Parts: sequence; structure tokens; C-alpha cells
Amino acid sequence: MSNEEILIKKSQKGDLDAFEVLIKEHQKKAYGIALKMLKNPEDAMDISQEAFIKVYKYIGSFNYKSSFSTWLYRIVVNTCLDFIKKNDEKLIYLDKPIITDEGNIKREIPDETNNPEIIYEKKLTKKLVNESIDKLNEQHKAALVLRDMEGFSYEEISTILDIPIGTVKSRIKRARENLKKIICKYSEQNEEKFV
Amino acid sequence: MNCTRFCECISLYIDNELNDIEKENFEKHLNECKNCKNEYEEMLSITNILRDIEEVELPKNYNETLRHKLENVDKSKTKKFNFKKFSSIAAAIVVLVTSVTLIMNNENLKQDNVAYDLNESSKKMERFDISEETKDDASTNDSTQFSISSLPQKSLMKEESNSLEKTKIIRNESLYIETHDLNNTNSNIVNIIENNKGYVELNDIKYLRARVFVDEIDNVINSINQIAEVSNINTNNTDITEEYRETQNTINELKNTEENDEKIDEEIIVYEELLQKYNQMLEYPNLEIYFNTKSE
Repeated sequence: MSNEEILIKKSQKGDLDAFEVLIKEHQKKAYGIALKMLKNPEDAMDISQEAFIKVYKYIGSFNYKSSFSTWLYRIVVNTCLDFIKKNDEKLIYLDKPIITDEGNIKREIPDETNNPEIIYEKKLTKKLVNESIDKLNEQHKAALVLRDMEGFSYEEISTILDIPIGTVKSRIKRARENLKKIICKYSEQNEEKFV
Repeated sequence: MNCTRFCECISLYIDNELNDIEKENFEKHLNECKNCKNEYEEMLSITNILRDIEEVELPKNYNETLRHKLENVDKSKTKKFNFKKFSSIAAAIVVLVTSVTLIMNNENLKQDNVAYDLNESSKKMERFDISEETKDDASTNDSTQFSISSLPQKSLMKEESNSLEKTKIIRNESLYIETHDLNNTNSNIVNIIENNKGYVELNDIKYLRARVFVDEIDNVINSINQIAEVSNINTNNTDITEEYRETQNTINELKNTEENDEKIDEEIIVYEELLQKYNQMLEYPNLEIYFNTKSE
């Protein structure tokens, strides 16, 4: 039995010390995911801890179908997504469809990237990118957080988000495309202020 | 490789997810086409900025507060089956199943009684009428137990479940109990339920609602029958076979569509969640118990 398996078995019996050792290597990443998804450090701490509590509560039903870490991160991501859904109703995402009486209208982000040079002429700063990623819908944001910020592979993301690999590929692609559009839109707006 | 195809491959190339041939074609086009090269480099710059973000440190009191929260979790209340989640899902599925069946206007839907009601207190009063045939037996004033197999509803259901394996039926059982000692009987019944893969959702002493794993519910009813006087059993079933099958079919259709559309992915998720809810309701039928205190 591996170290991890021993710790899991002990945690299943209620050994809190064993549980703390088990999750130690995952804490920073879990907190990091929550922070990038939720922005606010207090929320990130609350939500990542809520996820760890869920992991502890349901560790009895962990069945080794996936690896322990992907199971854990799935809980982290889902807890973040639930929190976002509950609390961010007021925020409008640029790529979320508008719901009208006639049905949904997909909100198109205007494509201002016709000119290929456009990004080079703008100031592509970390701040700009961070602000823009915040405007993505939560599914796209999660995909990019997991892939580019936390370094998970396509396979791992497929297990964490419980979606087929094909969907991982298209979601990441669309997320990046939308992010680029948002960056262009925002950097243009910012430029106008200086005129 | 043409420009359109190139643009579709940029994201995969950045993540090194192209096969060797595609990669070769991609790099060839990259060197030949200035516009595409710019597109690629823009996407790459953005991705690199994301990848460049430093790892965060945990807040200072993170472990302390987490330990405190973990200690508050009562491990003994946590069972292998996620009951709390099931009960909230069950409440949701009640509304969902009712509205789905109304919308689908399904003629196969069988509902013996209005099993799912929101106003429990009024229903409590209605259901307390003991049917005529059982009244006589009860009036003999002995603790005659009604054997389950003698009740017509039960044997019919056994037939159903044996012959029609593929039907999806959500069971709902209501038991009517006569007792001299309400508190004891109530807690004995709670023990039976909890020892047989069941959990109690609501216990108002004179009314109890529980969910019991489908393979155990007959055992539970039998056990209750042995320790308490069951004056009546009502079985209300909801046949969701059609809805279940349709949901399965919808999921398969969506998964088989050629388009790789985001909206389709989201729809698949919704339908799969619905199917999950159906399964949970099927696995954990409802058990309601009404207690009537007998005067000495």
C-alpha cells in the first residue's frame, strides 16, 4: 500500500492528522485555483477550505476510479463554480448569453482583432490580462486557470471537470479566443482614456 | 494547411497536442504566412503571461482555521451515501418530475394517489382515515400484524418488478402505525431505517419521512411490521420510464452530433445531471410513516 493509500484509509476512519498530511501537498494549488477563480483572498480561503472539508466528509466514498488528486481538485473547482453561480448573478460576463423573452441571444464579443498588429500596439500587461480573464464565463475561466495557471494536462482537466477530452480541447481554444477578444476590447477602451 | 485550419490548431499547438504530421504542417504554414504567424504569436503572448503568474502563498492562519473546521465535522454523521445531498436533490426532483411529466403529457404515467404534496400537514389529516377493511381487524384489539404478502398492493408490485425489469419506477411507501408508546415505537423504527441503508429526512414524532435504499426497503417494511402494528400501507409509484429513456436518448444524440459546440456540451451536462437525479430517486425511495396513538 502506498503512503497516500495509507493516509486515505486513516482519514476514512477519522484520523485528522493523517488527513492534514494527505492534503498538505495540494493546499497551495487548491488555494491558488480558488484565488484565481474568485479573486478575493478571503473568499479563496473560505471556499478552498470548504472544498477540503468536503474531501474529508466524502473521503469514505472515494473509490480510486480517478487519482486522489484529480478527485480533490474536482471538488475544489466545483465548489468554486457553485460559489460563483450563487454570488455573481449581478456581474455581466461579456461572453454569457443574454436571456430574453424570446430565448437566449448569444452575446457576441465584437471582434476587433482584424488587424493582426493590434496586440503588439497595445500594452499587454499582466494587469490587463488578469482583468480580462475575470470577464470570461466561469467555465472558460476554469479551463484556463487549470491549464495555463496551474499546469494541469488535458487528461487531468478532463477528469477534474468530468468532460471528454474533445470538450477540453474546444473549451480551452474558445476560452483563449474569447480572452484575446476581451483584451483587445479593454485595451482599446483604456487607450481612449488617454486621448 | 490553410489559414482557417491553422487558426483552429493554434491552441492545440501551444499545448503540444498536435500529432507529428499536423505539427509539421502547422510549422510550415507558420513560416509561410505572416498574418497567421502574428495570430499565433498574439495567442502565445497571452498564454505566456497567464503561465508566468507566480504561485501564491497560503495565508498565515490557513491551517489553523482549517483544522478547527475539520474538528467540527462530525464524522459519525457522515455516511458512505451522501444523504443530505440526496434529500435536497429529492426535493428538487419532486418538482422536476411533476413538471416534466406535465410537460411531456405522458399517458403512461401512473400515479395512484397524489404522492408528492407540498402541504404535509393537511395531507396528514386526510391520510389518517383507516380504510374500511382494516378497521374491523383493528377493532379486535390485539396486536395482529398484517403480513406484507397478504396486502394486494404489495404482491402486485412484486409482479411488476419481476417481469418489467426495464421500467423505471420511483417508489413511495406510506405506513400507518398504531401504537401505545409513540416515542419508543418511533425511535425503534428510526433504528431499523438507519441500520438498513436508510436515513431519516424529517421526524415530527407522529410523522416520519425517510429514504431507504431500494434493495432494503422491503426488509425495512417487514422489520417495522414485526415490531409495530401496521394498520395500513399505501403504495404510490411514479413511472418515469418514458422520461428516463427520453433523457438517455437525448444525451446520446447530443454526444453523437458532429458539431463540437459549447452549448451542446452544456446541454449534455444538464441532461446528465437530470439522469443522475432520476437514478438517485430510483435508488432511494420515499418511506413515510404516520403514527396514531392508541388510547389504553
